[in-house]
Amino acid sequence: MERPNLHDVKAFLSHRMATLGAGWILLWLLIAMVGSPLRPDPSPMANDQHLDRGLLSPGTVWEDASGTSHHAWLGTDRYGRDVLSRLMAGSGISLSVGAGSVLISLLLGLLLGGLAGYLGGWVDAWISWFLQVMWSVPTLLMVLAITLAFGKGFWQVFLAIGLTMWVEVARIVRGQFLSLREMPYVQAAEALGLPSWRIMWRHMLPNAIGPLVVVCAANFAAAILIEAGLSFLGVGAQIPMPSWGNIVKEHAHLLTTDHAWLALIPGAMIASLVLAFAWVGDGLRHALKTTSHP
Amino acid sequence: MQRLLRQLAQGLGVLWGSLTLVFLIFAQVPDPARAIAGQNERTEAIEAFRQLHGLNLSLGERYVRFLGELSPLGPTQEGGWGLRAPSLGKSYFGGRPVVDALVEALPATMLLACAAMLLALVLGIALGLMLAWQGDGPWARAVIGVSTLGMSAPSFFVAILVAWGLGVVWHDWTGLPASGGWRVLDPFEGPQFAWKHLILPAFTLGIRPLSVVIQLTRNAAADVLEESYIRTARAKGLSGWRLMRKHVLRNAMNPVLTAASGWFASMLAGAVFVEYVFGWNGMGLLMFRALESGDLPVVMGGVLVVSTTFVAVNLLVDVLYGWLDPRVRSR
Repeated sequence: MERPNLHDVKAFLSHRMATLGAGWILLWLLIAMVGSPLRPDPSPMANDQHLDRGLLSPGTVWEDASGTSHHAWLGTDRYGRDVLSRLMAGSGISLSVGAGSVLISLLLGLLLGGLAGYLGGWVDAWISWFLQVMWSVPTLLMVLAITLAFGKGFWQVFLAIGLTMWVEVARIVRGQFLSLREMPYVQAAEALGLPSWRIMWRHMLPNAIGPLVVVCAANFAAAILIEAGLSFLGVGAQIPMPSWGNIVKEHAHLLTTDHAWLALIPGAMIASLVLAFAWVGDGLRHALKTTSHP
Repeated sequence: MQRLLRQLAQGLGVLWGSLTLVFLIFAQVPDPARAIAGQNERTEAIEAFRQLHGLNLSLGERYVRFLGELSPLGPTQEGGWGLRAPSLGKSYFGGRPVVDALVEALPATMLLACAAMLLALVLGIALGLMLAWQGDGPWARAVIGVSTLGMSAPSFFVAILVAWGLGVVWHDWTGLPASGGWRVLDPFEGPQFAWKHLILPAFTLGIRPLSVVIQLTRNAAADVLEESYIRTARAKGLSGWRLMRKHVLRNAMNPVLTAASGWFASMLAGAVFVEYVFGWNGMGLLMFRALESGDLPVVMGGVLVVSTTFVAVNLLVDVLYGWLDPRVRSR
């Protein structure tokens, strides 16, 4: 495995689905980062309620008091809030939960997995045991337990998902380091008396980056799914903060009515973003020539 | 035999760790006594509530009590020592033993999870083998595409879609109900097993593992088909179904089996959504309701049951591994 370089970028871009997925992710990243100026309803949480124009169909045009006409491209919900704006505001939650938990999981996973793989012996035995213990409590339930312990809300979900997803990262890093440790160049570095952290950081980690990147893409997608699920259960982002999961929850009961789109669109959004990450993961695997199960 | 004992010891070590972890997380939950018993504001009532659930004890004492109650060996009700049913404490509301509630709900969830798993394995392996046999083509690409989509959609959303599409919109055509538990009380014939209620939730829960099984089987079988012993078998005149069954299937099963053991537990967790949407009276629904009302012992009991199942299934698969692949035994 070599470091990613320009050639790998070309290989990635030649994967059509991966490019498509990356574009879709970037689009939503932009929407989330620019925030309110892009939204038809620029109020902080896209929470501008007008009960008199609730449940408008997608594409309806309405006029405000000053006579200016506005498009409700995706219609409005029960409280007359613009659905497109809510979706755009909600994207920030999905993406930041994904990014945050990937970051936390990388920090913990690199540290513990690296130590276990490099030091071996009883350190490895204990860390491996801890990995198996964490592994045996399903992520969703672990996150539920953590949010119960530290209260409902956006930040708790953030932490909880990160604190459960590092296991996968640690496993990969440990496995990679176990085999890299036997490499002649690592042994040469050891013989030269380089400090352990330097060997791990400068000489081993760059060679383990391929599978790590693939796992991060998968973790990002998994975090989005879990966040959406938690919001759906009412544990995640709290009303009126919009998140794709709680928008589905709010409108799930409308499925049998003419307003089914209110639940269908946010659900499809979640699926599309997760799918985009799956494609990007495929593209990375293809470009970095990593096997799916190292 | 020695291998088996070592695996058992390892499994117990992991089990102990996960029980402790779950205990420690739930021990962080702020004291709920005032919120739950507090409507009548009487100090004695709150104290009694704390006493009953051991909330007045220190963390160490609570841990000892937790492990003591959980252990299947200990003082029995008749006095003396022996085997007994583990206890998981009492529900905050009404004081019903948590074990009773879980035991009542467990069969429904197990039935659902097993049906979903069976569907995923049988259909997934068959489809995966077929795709590997046919090689790359429009069919392969279509199935892979659909199964990637199946992995990407959130399970609650799939549940809603299936309940709505197959249970309501096309109800006349499928004849399947959008909700209901596995036991129905027939006014004339007493409790009946309602298999019709099982189909949609099991299908929903099975979609994600089905997608993974298809892809794993296809990849593993495609790798096996490249092996030289397959060429030999073909040269000897073996073809089609017999070749796939005798030579490919057995050698391609290991990765599928490993992955399948991992999902069984996450399926029990995923059942929370499916049971909630379909109104299936299992552990997921029980945990969801307990979560909403803040009935901690029930949530904790549910988490413990799931992680114990996970450890047990993993152990079983480890043992099965040795049986399927003799090379592992000698290691």
